[in-house]
Amino acid sequence: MDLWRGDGLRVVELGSGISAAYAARLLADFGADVIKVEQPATGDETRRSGPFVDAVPNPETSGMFLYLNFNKRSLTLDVTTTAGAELLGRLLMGADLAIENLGAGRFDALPLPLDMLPEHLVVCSISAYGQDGPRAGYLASEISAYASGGMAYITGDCDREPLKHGLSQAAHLAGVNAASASLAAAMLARRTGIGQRIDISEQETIAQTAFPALNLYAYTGAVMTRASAGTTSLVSSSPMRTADGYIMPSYAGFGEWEAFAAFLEIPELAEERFLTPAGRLRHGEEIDRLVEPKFAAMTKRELFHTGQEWRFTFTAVQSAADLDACPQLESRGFFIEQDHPVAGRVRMPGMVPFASAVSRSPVAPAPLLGQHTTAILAELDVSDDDLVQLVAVGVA
Amino acid sequence: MHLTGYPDGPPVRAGAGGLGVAFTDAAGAFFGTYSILAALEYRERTGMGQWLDLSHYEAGAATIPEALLDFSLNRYDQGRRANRHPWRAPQGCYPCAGRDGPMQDDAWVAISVASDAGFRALAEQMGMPALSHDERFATMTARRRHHDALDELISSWTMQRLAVSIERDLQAHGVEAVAVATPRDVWFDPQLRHRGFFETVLAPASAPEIGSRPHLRPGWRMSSTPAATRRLAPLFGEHTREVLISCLGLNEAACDTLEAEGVIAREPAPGIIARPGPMDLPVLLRSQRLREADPDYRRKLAEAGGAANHGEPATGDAVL
Repeated sequence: MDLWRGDGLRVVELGSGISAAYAARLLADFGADVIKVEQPATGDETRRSGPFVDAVPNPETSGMFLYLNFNKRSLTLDVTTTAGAELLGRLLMGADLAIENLGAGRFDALPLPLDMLPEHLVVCSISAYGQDGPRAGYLASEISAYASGGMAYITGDCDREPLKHGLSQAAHLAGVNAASASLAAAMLARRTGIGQRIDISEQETIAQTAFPALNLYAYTGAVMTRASAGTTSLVSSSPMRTADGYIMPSYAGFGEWEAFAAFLEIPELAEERFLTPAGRLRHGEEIDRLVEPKFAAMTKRELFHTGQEWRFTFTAVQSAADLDACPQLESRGFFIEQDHPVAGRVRMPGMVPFASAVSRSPVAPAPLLGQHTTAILAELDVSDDDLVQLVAVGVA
Repeated sequence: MHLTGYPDGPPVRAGAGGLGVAFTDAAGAFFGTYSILAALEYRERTGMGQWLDLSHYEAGAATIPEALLDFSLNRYDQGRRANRHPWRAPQGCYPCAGRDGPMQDDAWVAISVASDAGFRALAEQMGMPALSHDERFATMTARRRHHDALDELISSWTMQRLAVSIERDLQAHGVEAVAVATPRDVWFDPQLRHRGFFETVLAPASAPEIGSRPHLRPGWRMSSTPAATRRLAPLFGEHTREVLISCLGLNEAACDTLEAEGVIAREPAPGIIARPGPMDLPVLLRSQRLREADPDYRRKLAEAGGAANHGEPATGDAVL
């Protein structure tokens, strides 16, 4: 057996959690051969964070681990030890790319002879604030990315606290950016034989997503903030209540206002004072009072579909249950099923774009902890005796 | 959007206090960049191109796998939980002593505690070390249960202090904390400026009134091929003839004919470009959709960045 399989990019993933794992998974989706290096005994932190199959904690049945790591192999190795780092160095000799989120400065601090790394290697580092700067050593998680990136301040109500966005979107998006930059650098290295370092910051990733608010200041001096209590709903495209949840009326996408009045069968809406955008902004509260009872009498799906028939850009605000049952996602094969030896058959999102030459379904389920350690270390000429010794001292 | 907001309120859209910020526009672009590069890499290896079909909808759904998996595995449909976290407590944005300007009461610091040791450090910094022995707060589970009461205690401490000093003091003692940045603060952020996240670009000669403006750099920093703005956004139809002549081999006469037939144009049709009134800054300020504007913003940005770059427009060489 050869160490590296196939002809895809050869990727070594180091670290724990979401960002580096997601970046490497995105590459694996297009055929990269990813070796995931996990800490012996404990493994990746997502093995411990769930959500778990049937809500029972088990390092092999964490949904997030299974989702972030399909199509990869698992090697347990403590790379902070001299013996572990030496083996990592040998692994990197044949790799195109290392993706890591060990923490700012930690990769360079590994007991790894850095001059031993091959010249063509691309090293992509993901961290909260980047590898350098006054905040590089800070502790940080999702909420810090939203707070420092300008996004929390503009999310929520102005008389309440700023909000992070739900779950771990900063870590995921930092992973997407890491995948993009890694691909560009790896393609360049294939041509020139020379790799480079890539430095991804979650703060910068979130600041990028807040660009309309940031550009508003750079071009006008206005400071966007959170919604005031009196912010009207329809003309400011805020979510509006329906019989069973919320609908998002993208007001800017409305065509003829008179058609909207006809659609809702509210003749008052066609009155003079509502006919110009400025008039509608001025009388936003009145519009809400007219529209709200109509919306509240219909389900979000009903409004979404009939509104779309009239060419209004309505969108139902959907929960995970709605997404799970969505015929659009179903018909496009967004959800895939993974057969895992411990977790069984698990339904989860597959690769993100539909790509005509690549299957959206995983080729292999997520690896068990250290599933490929023996085979990979054997390829690195580690003898059986040495492997036993490495395991005994907790290095592998 | 279902997952962002206060537990007792509606789903929340970013920037609803202004013109809105379409978060998935940026996220969709990130996924698009990745997808294109992945397909190009695939082509380098296999010689095969392919068709990519990326939906904003799916790109958005791909950023919330925890919720999708929780439903798929446990039939549990997650809701909004503001800033709270399943295994970090306390976590939240807490009010701080005022900052300058009309929004002076609107200053906040984000704090997140991931361990009991972290909570001990926070309690000590608050001058209330006994809190870490209080049975309501001694463990992560207990802090989760009594989060509201804990938030009140933390807020009464943070309100007496500036966000930046809380950030500095807590980080020095091993507690995650960072001041909540306004969209203005981001431009003056010492971390982002240290990293050269901003560049100054100059308006083209044809629209000098725009002057020099700071722009964000891409969300990645590459050691040997750094990204920079090489060109400004083009003027309307700026390169139409250049492309038709250099790429398609047309001559000027053929371009003249196309222009006469209305197939190509030098200028937009009258009335096409201007947006309706409500987008105007004074209107937005009057209606309280925006509540703060900084008349001095250009001077402040220029001072923060030193001299603007001169010479060729859009060289993108100068860093704020």
